[in-house]
Amino acid sequence: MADLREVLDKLLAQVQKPARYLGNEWNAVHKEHDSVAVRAVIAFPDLYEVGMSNLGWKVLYEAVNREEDLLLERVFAPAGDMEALMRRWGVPLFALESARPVKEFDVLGFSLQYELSYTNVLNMLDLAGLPLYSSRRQEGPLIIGGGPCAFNPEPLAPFFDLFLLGDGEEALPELLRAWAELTREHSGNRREILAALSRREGVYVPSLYRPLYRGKVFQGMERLDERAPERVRKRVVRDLDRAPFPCAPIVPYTGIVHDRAALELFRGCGRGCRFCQAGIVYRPVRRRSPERLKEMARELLQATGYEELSLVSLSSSDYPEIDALVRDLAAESPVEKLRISLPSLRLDAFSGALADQIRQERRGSLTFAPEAGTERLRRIIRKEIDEGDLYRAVGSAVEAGWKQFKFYFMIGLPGETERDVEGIADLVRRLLDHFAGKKERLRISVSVATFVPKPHTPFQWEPQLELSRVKERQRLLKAAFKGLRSVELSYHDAEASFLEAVFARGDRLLAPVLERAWRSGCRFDGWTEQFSLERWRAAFQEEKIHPESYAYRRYAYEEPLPWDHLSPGVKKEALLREHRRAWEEAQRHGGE
Amino acid sequence: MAESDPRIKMRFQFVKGDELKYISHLDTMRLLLRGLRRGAFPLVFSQGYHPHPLLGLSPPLPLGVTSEAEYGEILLREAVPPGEFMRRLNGCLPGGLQLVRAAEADLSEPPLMAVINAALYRAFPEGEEGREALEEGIRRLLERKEIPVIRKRQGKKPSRVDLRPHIFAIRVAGEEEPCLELLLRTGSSGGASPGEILRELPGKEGADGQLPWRLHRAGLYIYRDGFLREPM
Ligand code: SF4
Repeated sequence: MADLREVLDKLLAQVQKPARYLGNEWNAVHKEHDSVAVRAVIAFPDLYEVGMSNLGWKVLYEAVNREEDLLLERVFAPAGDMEALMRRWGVPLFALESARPVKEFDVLGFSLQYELSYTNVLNMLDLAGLPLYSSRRQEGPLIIGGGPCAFNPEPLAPFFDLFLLGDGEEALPELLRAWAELTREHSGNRREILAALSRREGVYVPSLYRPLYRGKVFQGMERLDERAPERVRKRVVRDLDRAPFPCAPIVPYTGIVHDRAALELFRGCGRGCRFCQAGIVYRPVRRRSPERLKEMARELLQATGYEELSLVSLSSSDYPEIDALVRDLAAESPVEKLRISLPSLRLDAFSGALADQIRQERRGSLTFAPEAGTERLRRIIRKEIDEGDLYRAVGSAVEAGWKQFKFYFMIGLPGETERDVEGIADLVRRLLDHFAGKKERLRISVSVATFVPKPHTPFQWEPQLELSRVKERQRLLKAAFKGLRSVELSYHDAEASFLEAVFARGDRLLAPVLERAWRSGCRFDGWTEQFSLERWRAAFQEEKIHPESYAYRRYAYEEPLPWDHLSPGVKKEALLREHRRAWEEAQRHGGE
Repeated sequence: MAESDPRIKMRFQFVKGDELKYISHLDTMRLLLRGLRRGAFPLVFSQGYHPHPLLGLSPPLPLGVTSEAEYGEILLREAVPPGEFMRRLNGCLPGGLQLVRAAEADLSEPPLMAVINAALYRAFPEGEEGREALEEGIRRLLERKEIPVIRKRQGKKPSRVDLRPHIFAIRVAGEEEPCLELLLRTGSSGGASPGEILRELPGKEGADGQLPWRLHRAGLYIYRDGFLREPM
C-alpha cells in the first residue's frame, strides 16, 4: 500500500496542532522500507507533546535505527479531533516517518510508562485495524510492550504477543532480528516463534502462562510450555558508556512538555525509598563517565540547536562530583547561553556550588521531593532526609538567587496519620519562617499526590487509602494550609490514583474491563479533563469485578502475586524484609 | 535591548513548502532559531534573565498555506558573507523551509514586521471551476460595501470586523486552470486572511468546514501610494 500523505493532507487542514502528525522533524530518520530486513514502529500511547518529552523510546529509536538492516518509526496517540477524522475517512493508524499504515510493519512496540494510558493502547490497536486479542492475530505485526509497566503487564496480557523486561537498547535490535529469522524458519507459525523467543532473557510471552483462580482469587501462574522460563528475568545493559544514546534526537516543531536536550547521567537509583518502583526496576546503578557525558552533551547540542540541557536520571544530584560535571558542561558548551537544568534534585545532595552552577535557571522554580511531612513518616517510607537538609538546600538556592520552589508530597502513605498530613503544612510554615528575614518572600508551590502501591516494591502488599479518606485528608490539608499566603497547593486527582492502583496491581481479569471501558469511550485517562471514574465503575460492574479488592486490600505475604513470575532482579524476600522494617520503624516511632 | 553591539543585520527571504505548511508562525520562529544555533552563527542576544537571539519575521503565514516569499532578519555580532550565511543556514534547516536570498540590511532600517502591509495569495480551486463562475463570484463580492465577519480568537471575546477595506484587489488568473489572485492587507495594522475572504465568495462553501482551495502566498510587499515594493 502506498503511503497516506494525500489523504492526510486533507485531514491536517481540519485538526488542532497539525504539526503533531508531520513526521519530518529535524533528525527524524527516514529509511527505504525495501532496504531493511525488519520494519518496526514504536508507539507511545499518549499525545505527541507528552510522548516527545520521554527519553526512553528515543534511546530505542537510536539503538534500532543505527543498525543498517533495521528500521524504527514512531506513532503517538492521535488527539480526539484527529481520531474522529481518521475514523470518518477510514484512515488507519500510520507511522509518522513514512505515513504508512502501522499494520504493514513487522513489529509494533508500545512504550508502557503509566497505567492510565492503557485505554489508549487499545484504541491505537483498533485504529490500526488490528484485532485486539493476540489469539486472533495469526498475521500482521507482532505486538510487543516494554517500559516500567511491563513488570506487571497482566491487565494487558491478552492483547500483547510479548513483553520485554528491562533495558531495551540491546534487547530490541536482537529481538527484531530473531523475529525475522524465526519467522522464516517456522514459516510464520506464531506460537512456535513465540515459544522460541521466550527462551531469550527479558522476553515474557504471556500466552505461554495461564493464571489459576479459585473464584476470582489468583492462585498462581501455570506454565504452558517447557521452553518458557519459570521466572522471566529482566535485561540489563552493563556498560552505559558504550550503549547507544540519542545524541541527535528528533527536534519537534511544536512546543512540547519538555522541549530540551536530555542527557542521561546514570540509570538506576541506590536510595531505596520503599514506595518507589523505578528505584527497583532500573537497578543496578550504572553511571556514565564524565568524559563520555561531555562528549555526548557536545554532540547533543550541536545536533539539535537546543538552548537547554537537562541532566536526567532518577536523582541526578546523586551523581558523584555533580558540581564539577555541571561546571565543565557549562564551560565546554558549544552553544552560547546554555541553560543547564536538573529536574530531579535530592535535598541532601544539593550544594551551594550546584545552586550556583545552575543559576541561569533561577527564574524558574527548583523542585524537591520530601514526600512526607514528618520525620517519622519519612523514616517509614525510607526517604532519609531531615529538616536540616531542607533548610540547607533551600538556603543554598536562595543564596544563589532562587525564589520559587516546588515540593512534592504524598498522602495516604502506609503508617500515615492525620498528624503527618498536618505535618506537611507545618513543615512549609517553618520553612517560610526560617527564611522570613530575607528581602523577598519565598514562593512555594506544594503538589500532593496520592500513594499508589506498586508491584515489586516493599509496599506492594499495602492497601491504598480509600477514596473517601483521601478526600478527607485533602480537606484537612487545605485547612492546614489556610493562612499560608504565597503557598500554592495542588493535588493529583485522587480518583485517577485509585484507578492507577487497581491496574498497577491488576491481573488478567481486568483485561475485559479495560476493553469495556475503552468501548464506552474512555481515552486519555491520565488527563483530568477526559477522565471519568463513572464510566470505569460501569465497566467494572458489567464485568462483576470489584476494583476495591485490588486497590484497598492488604495482600498477604503468602499469597501468590500476579507478577511473581516476572523478576526485576530483586528477590521477593528482600522486599518482604524491607516491608517488615518499615513496620518496625512505625512501631518505634509510635503512630497508628 | 541587545547586550553587545550588533554589527550587522542579515535579511533573508525563505520559502515554505508543502512539507511544512502545517507548522505555525511560532513553530517557524523556533525552527529558524534552532537552525541558527545548529549553524553556530555569532548571534546577538537580548538582555535579561532569558536572553534570546534577536530574530524578526514577516507577518504570520496562515496555517496550511505554502509560500515563496517569507522574510526574516537576524542580528549578528560579526559579518558573515550573505552567500555563506544562506548556504550554512540551509544546511541546518529541513527541505520544507529554505532560504532563497540573503543580504545585509542597514541597522537603522525599521523591522520588516512594521513595514510589510500587503500580501499576494494564489488560490487554486479544488475540482473543476469555470472561469466565468469565478469572475461572477468576485464581482458580487467586491460589490458589497461591507463584508462583516465575526472573528473568534482563543481566550478572547469574538469581535466584528469588516473585511472589505482589507481587500486591495482580487482577480482571476492562470492560463489553463484558473486560479484567484488576492492582494490583501496584512501586518501590524490589521488585515484579512485569504481563508476569511474565500469563505465569503458566493457558491464556494466547502463541505466539513474545509476550504476547497489550495493556498499559496506569492509575495509580501510594502504597499504605498499605489506602488508595491518588495521588502528586499
Ligand atoms: S523516590 Fe527517588 S530517590 Fe527514592 S528510590 Fe525512587 S528514584 Fe530513588
